[in-house]
Amino acid sequence: MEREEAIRKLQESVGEENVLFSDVDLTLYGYDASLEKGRADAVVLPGSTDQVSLVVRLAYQEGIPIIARGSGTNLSGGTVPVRGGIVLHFSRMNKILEVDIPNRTVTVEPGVITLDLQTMLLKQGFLYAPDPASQKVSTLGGNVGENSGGPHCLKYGVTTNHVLGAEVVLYDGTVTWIGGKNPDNPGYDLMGLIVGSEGTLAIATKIILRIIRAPEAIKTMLAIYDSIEDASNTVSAIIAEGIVPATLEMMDHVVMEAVEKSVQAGYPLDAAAVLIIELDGLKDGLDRQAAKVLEICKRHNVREIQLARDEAERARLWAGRKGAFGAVTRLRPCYMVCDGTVPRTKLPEVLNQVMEVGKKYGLLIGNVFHAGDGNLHPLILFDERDEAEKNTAMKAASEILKICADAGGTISGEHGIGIEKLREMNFIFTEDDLETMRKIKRAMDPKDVLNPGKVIPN
Amino acid sequence: MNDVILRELEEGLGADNLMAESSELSAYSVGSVSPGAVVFPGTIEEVAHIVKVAAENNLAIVVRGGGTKMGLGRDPERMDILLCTSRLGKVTDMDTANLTVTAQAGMRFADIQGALAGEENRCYLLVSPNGREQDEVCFEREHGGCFVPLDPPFPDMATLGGIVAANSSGPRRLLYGTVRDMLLGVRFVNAEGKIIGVGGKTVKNVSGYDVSRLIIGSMGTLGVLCEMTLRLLPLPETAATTVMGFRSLDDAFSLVDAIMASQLTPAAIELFGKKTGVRLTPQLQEIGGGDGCFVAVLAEGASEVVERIGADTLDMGARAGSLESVILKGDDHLSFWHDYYQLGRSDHGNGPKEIVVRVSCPISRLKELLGKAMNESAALGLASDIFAHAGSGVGRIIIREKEEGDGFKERVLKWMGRLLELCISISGNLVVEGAAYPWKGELPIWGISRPEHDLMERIKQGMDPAGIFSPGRYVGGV
Amino acid sequence: MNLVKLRKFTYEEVTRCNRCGFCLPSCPIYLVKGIESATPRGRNAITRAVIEGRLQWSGEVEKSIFSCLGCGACTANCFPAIKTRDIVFRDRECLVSEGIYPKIADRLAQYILEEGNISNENNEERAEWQELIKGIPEHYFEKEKADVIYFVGCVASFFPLAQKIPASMAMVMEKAGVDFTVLGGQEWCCGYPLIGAGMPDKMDALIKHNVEVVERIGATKVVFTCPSCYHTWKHFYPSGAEYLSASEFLVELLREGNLELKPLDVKVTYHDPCDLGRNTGVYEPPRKVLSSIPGVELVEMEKNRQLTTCCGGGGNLEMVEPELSGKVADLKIAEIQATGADVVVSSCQQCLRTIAGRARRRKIPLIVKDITELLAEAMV
Repeated sequence: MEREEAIRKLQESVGEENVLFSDVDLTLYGYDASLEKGRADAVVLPGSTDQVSLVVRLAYQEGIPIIARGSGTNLSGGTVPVRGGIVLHFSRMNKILEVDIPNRTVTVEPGVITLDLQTMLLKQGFLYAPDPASQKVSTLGGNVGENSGGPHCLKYGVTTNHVLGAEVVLYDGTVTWIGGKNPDNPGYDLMGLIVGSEGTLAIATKIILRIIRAPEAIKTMLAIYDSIEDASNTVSAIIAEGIVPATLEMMDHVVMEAVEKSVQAGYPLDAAAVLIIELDGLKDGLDRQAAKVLEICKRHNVREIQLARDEAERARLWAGRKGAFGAVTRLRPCYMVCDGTVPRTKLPEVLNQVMEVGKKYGLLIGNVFHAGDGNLHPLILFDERDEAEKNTAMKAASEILKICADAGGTISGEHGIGIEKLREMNFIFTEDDLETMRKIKRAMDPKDVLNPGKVIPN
Repeated sequence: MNDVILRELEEGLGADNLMAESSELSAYSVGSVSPGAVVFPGTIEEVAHIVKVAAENNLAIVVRGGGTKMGLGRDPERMDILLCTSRLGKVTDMDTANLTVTAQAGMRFADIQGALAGEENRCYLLVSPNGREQDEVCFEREHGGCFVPLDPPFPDMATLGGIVAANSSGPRRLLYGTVRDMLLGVRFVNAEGKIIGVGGKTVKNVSGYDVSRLIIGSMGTLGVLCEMTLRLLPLPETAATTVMGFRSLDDAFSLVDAIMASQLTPAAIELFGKKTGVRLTPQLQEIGGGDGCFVAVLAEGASEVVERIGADTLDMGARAGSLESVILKGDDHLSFWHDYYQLGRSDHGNGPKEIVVRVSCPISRLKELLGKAMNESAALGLASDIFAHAGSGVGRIIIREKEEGDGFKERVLKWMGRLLELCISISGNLVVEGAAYPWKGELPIWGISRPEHDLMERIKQGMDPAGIFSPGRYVGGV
Repeated sequence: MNLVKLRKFTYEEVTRCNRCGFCLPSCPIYLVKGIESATPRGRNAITRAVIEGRLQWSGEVEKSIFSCLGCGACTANCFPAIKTRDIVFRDRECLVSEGIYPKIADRLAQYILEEGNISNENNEERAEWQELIKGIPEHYFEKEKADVIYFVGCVASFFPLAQKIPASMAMVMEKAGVDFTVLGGQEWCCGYPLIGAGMPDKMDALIKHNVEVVERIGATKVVFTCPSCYHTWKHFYPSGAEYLSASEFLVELLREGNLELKPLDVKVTYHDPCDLGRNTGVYEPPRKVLSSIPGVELVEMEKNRQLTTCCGGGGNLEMVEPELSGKVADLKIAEIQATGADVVVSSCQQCLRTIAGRARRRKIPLIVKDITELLAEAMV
């Protein structure tokens, strides 16, 4: 089918104003928050499941790639149209369809902004727990596609632990429900398979999420360290003492400097590292737990501990953490974030190796990460306009992922493989393992139209 | 089974680990089907060898662990090889500092919990009183120790592999979740006899497809699950259980609703019938008479938290009209749960036969589901009992055959038909977990067909095209 | 402005945009349109692509670049604080020199340069609002010499809905005994609309004239009820007299005890005009004015101060795409309604017009007042 013909068909399906194909639009839908670039052939803003289904059916019939995306905050190139095709932008499907308190669920369209849902729920005393740093802009559809994490996932689990079901559009445009409010259907856990599949297996058009009661009490502390090793050891020690905090986040001095330039979160600029430790739950016993944490921090040479006195102070401590990625471009224009994850006890050793890589290549590396679950985020700073420096940065990133894999970890904890980490998949998987994933892909998308070229190397 | 194949199997396993005498095989029947051979591999490589032989000869394989779930599902269409995981019982990596454990499929659940808790804390476990010395002081926990935050039925018998393959869960899913929240990685043997590893040791992992989750609850139809890595939690500081008796299901559920609406974080809220209740809590035997039921609220965590949950629960219970209540601590608490985890065991040889049906539905509809199911069974003259994870929307209904029961089968079929309709009307579902009758096949073993069933078949077709794994046993024949 | 200059002023800034997207939910235009070219991130990317030669100036580029409100919410939410507003205004200059821009801007420029105001009115009519005040002679507020000049601005001079603002302001100053004057026909447009239109080079004559008038009158202070005039004077005019927003000046008057106020029993919320708050940094003075009126209860909107949502009236959008501007006003109105306040107070005639105008068209009962108006009501 000619391009003009295809565009005309798309316009018939979703309305003229909801199909974009100007030079500007195709350029702008060629990026996400990673460094990868592509170019779409058309952009569609669907308004309903039926419209998504029509578009996917057309794409299937014509063998056109189809890439679903929300706010385009992906950090691994997962939403970049590397083989052209139709980008589905879900900004119009952004309604919270149902809040079902008795059954502890909400039903949303994929374009709902994560934080909008959370703000709405919190007013009623409920929580949708996964809180990716980009929650202010990320969409729930995107969170499902990426199986997004976030600081509070240490205690509450990642996105997949909170997705109960979804209405999905399959490769040929068929619409079906997977899972639902019933907690225990027999059969394969297809929902679990689809969450985190980066839009390569199905496209969610309605999502049922689990919500929980907001905790009765929260204690947020900032622990300041003169050595990053002491900070990492504190992390392991807290867990070893039988405490699972809601969050255990770490930031090093490079990141703190950038953050302080952006928002005055009150991070000390002369410290080597800080931990944001948050405890929550029933108010009973929380003080004793906090005292125990304090004692553990002291045992590991903490310099100072600040306790957030109210919600405003808590928000201030978190503001810096959540904007850390964006803030580092105050230091250099670009960053590459390695999302490698290691068993928690390996943190001190792996962090050292990461810094060695930085030294070896002469690259500035900042660290801000979910220490509690060993999910590193070394930010390699560089200028992508300098081709040589960019290549060095990419080499360093790959080496860091190898270090994580060799330490018994994995190459991506929460940002996805996308296209950025395809080359590194063989660090952790054998060809047979990958072939298993390909079998699944072929079973669910035989013509390879759903976000082709992502997740699994060819 | 022909000798060439048997020899091939024997080469990889050794004669001791292969059983092919028909006199021995009948003990390993699944329903009415007897295996052609029973194998006992001791390593993952041996499993791979078995599957390779099976694949080359198009032989069907069914896997067996502790045997607690052999009554689950339809009789297999074919069962050339029954693969027992009893020799795959090793812990390969116990990393309590990172809160993960990697163990083989044949490991018994109680054993892994015991190993994780450490000698000092074994007494804490809710799994088995066997590990406990008489008069041992239990609830003064000074040491570390971890546990797998799952509590499937029959922990002394059930194996890790079976628990994952059948997606078993228990009361504490309310606080901790189910297998899908704990499983970090698996190694399994695929239909070509290749060893596949996915996932890993980290809680966060989005590298590639989440194949581990696909394996959960797949009932051995996608591969032979050999080894798995699970997430651990530190053992709670203490625990206690508040049990209360109510005169009606309505009263009992008004306590359940009150707890759910509060910010309390109990580990479990269990609701069960009077007969079961009286048996499990001799402390409450005074209640007698009426059609009451019981609610048990389990609190785990810091002592202040356990205290608070206990106290608030008592208050809420009183407001809901509880007739009597008791807070179980220490040994009383342990033995209550030990007995509780044996409920619904369908494979015991002596005593009356039972039909065990697991029902599930959106949380708020459970009261309706259980109430109507009980009424229907009473109307049909069927003796029934219930126990349910009341805060999670999951319950079990047990039908017992009375001695004088005439037309039992017809009445059960009728009841089951009504239950199925009821489930459909409230977006629920059911699974027949046990029914040792020759007419089991006439029951809706796997409940209501799901809209995503086609996709399941596609996955099955993609991963096991020849259909060698548990053919015909699972939902819709996948 | 051309590509060479654009590269010089903008390239480093725009390459620091790492496309994190945190600006998206703060951009009212994106919230309404839901497409990437309506995002600050998208506008940064367009600029970068043009500089790097991957995109050409075009009508599509124009659509994106001229649909920006210049409200600056993106920068307030941007961790590297990229000034997309400045980037967009420079892009507009380039587009103008390429001849790719909304032609309505030509008419605007013509009016401003020929008549001295945006409305194609006889500039002598600027004093019309004085008729709202009963019992004063014509040109009562115009003097040869004064200590303070009140710079009324085009919108408040010529749009009936906004004329109550200068009337209130003048009355308050009169009662407080301030030695002030307005400029009448001698007040020329400050030039702000030309910046928004991508034609800042046409401002020079306006600046020169206005500065000369201030010098001639010998004023030490120039006071503005229009945040955009104020912003423009502060950032583009040579320093001379002290430039003050109305609320800053009113806080001075209140501090000196020159205003006697009676209680008003009213619950208000305050809308921060972008050019006053975010773009010039005046957040607290208007709040001080409100809290000085006895009986006034102030409830903040969820997004306030740096994070405030634009009313939809910024950046010439109302002129270029009135419907889009109105849809942004809908967002603002929803935020206002969520506070449960009886009255929304702003300190900008454009915000007042946009919000009140939209509410009236949508038949939403909403009372919108300027801060000077509320203060005038409270005067004894």
